[in-house]
Amino acid sequence: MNMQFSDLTFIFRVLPVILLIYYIVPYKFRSPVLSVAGLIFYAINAGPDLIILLLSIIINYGLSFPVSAKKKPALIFSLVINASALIAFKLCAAFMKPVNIGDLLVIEFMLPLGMSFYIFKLISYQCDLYRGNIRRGSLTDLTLYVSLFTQIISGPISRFTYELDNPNRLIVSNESAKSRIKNAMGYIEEGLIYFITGLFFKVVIADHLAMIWREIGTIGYENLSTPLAWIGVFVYSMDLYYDFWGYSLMAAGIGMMFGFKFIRNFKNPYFASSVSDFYRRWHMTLGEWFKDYIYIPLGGSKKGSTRTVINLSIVWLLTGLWHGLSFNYILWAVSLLLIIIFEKFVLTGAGVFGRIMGRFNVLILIPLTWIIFALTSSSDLLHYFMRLINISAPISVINETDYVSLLREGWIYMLPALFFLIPSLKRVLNKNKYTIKVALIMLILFWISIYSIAGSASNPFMYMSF
Amino acid sequence: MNNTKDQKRKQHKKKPEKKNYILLMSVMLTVAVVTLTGLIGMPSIYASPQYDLIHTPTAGIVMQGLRNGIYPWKGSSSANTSVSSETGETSNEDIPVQNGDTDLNTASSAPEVTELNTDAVSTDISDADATSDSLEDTDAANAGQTDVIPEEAEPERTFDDMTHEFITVDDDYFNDALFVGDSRMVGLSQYCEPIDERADFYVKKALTIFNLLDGKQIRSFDGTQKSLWEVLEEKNYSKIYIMVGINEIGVGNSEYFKDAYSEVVDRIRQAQPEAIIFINGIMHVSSSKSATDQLYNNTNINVRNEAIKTLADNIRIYYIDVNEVVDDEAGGLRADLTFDDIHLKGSSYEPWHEFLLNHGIDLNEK
Repeated sequence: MNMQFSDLTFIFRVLPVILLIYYIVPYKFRSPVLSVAGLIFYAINAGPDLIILLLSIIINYGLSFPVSAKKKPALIFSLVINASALIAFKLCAAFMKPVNIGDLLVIEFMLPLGMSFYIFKLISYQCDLYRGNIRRGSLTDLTLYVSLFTQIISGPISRFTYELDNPNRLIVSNESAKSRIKNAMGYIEEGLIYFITGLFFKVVIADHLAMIWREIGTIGYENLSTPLAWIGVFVYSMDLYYDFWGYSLMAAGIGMMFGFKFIRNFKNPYFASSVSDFYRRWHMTLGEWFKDYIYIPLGGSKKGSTRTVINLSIVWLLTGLWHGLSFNYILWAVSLLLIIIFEKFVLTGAGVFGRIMGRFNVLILIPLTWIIFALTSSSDLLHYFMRLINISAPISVINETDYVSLLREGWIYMLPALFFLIPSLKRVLNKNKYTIKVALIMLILFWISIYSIAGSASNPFMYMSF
Repeated sequence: MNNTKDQKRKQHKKKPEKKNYILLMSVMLTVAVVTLTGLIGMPSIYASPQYDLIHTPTAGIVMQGLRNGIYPWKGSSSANTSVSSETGETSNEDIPVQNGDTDLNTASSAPEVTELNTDAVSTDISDADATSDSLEDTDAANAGQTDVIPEEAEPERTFDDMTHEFITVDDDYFNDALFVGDSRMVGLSQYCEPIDERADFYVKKALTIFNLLDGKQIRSFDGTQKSLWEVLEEKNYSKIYIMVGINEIGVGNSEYFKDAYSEVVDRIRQAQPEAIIFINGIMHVSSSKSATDQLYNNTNINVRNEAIKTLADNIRIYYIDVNEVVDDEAGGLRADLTFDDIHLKGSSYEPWHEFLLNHGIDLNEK
């Protein structure tokens, strides 16, 4: 079974029920309520993986005592055990073949759901604890931090303080019922704006762009016309962006409904001035994690050019491996690393030319790196890039007008993808947050999204029409 | 000074407090209205196994209804017309029950479009016996024709009782051919130039036999929106190739599918009695896909192919099965011919092309 934020059951049943319970129970039960909700949500999605999650929490809780007492060996031990658990599971998932036990039972090695995210959260917890940035949390606090259902499956990778900063905790139990209700409604109202926007991005824009991307794949990459190959670059880049941005907005929006602060995970990445700037604006919680717990401790860029290059290489290699242990992720990370080093040592100080190149890198090279990210087979990758520069493989059959019908079907999703890139939209939205205009637009986006989901829900194969 | 600054800050701080709950209220209100609509319509317009109250929130069911052409404000007259669509498993049991009070014509969604068929073809195949009825009809018609031959009225029909063998033809054979089908045929139009240059293609992604029957209008080869029946009124074809069936594999059972197919074939025969109709077996999916997909697998495809195979009379209606040339040993679409396990890759249409060339029918051939 699985349940996503964009499932009708989640939107109309699960979320309202959790919110209701959360706001009705006495204040001191709120953390336990959310923790339990998170564990149940995780169990629904991940089944037996829950055991590994619980073990991780308990082990890290145990280690948090010596770590908070600034015992360095304990910190190192906790880092090693967390990192090696993640690495071991990733290795198994990548290289182990399914094992048959008897006739019926087949054990497939898969990375436990969300493990890349929660292990990173735990490492951040232990490091912050050791550095004295935070105080040790109770078992409930730690469970809440790790299992918070808004983040457990695909992030964002929040810090421990985030959970403690919940302004919602300021509502004390002796507050009048009226103001408590008002408060709660205020949080929900605000969260709803982000949730609906994210929902729309995910189910209307991203999911349909994903269908177009799959359709392009159907033809076989060696048979794409060059225009279609470039449209594919655009479509996949936008699919990835709206999928993850939409998810992050939904996660942050739901968090806000419970009184948490908004977590920003994307900040107009395609308006970045360079590739390194892009990655300060893309999946920001991951980038900041690498910065705070890997790059800076290694010395960052403060120890000379050679060390900077080495440190950057380590960070990017790890970033690639974090996404998955396969050839294409490494290639993806290495190509980004090369662009970033080039930017850092050649383009910086190249004046206008450097700035133009920076934009070019973001708008052209980044989308191309996503193709590397997308295609796991190296022959597919080779064929795709050959078609981008109009070289045909001997076996290919190319229909030069293949993009016409694709554009005819797909423009209705491609144009909104371009439109919502405009950075000032957020400013306009924030200015008019509590106006009828915005409420009306959100309401329309909400029902368009629900209508769209209903299509795929009544027909799980909608995305597979042939 | 300090005081005013403080006040200013307070005011600034207060600003976000000026919240109202328009959005929350309107979302809750609309959800309530939609849910209520769903609850009221539950015993009537949403009374179909397709609408699953346990797994889908009521508001979602109303939206699913909208997608299937059920509008609450239009009343419940069109209630049961919508066929239970894919539920994830082949819900073969459900459909025949529905057929009892459902005319097949109204099968796929839009209830209004159905007039067309009912007028043109009077065969009502709304219950299980219908197939045999309609088959008998065809037999009777054929038998009738044999009787009729001696009469001078239709001299060109002298070949009509003759079966023919497949022969090898060249590409010009397709000059007066029409290809009708779903994405697989779309692919043929895009990647098989010799045929595309010569034949007309009436094809659309996700086209189903029910769409054809309903007279659904799709973008035709001349760029206009037309139903198949309009296309057939405008131009005469000597050969008509049909390949549909993969999309509707979760709809109904094979009998139900065959009934609809049979009606489409009958109507094509009526519209263009001179044409040879090639019923193309549904192309397989790859073996790996077949092994893992509960619905889109080759077992289901084969069942349906067996069903439509029986519609061939080998006089004017022929069954051809491209799977003969694209299958691997396991009976699935060869992995090297496909990227997504379902469609041929752009470079893999040649086997199909060859196959069609090897399966021509010449009515003048003895």
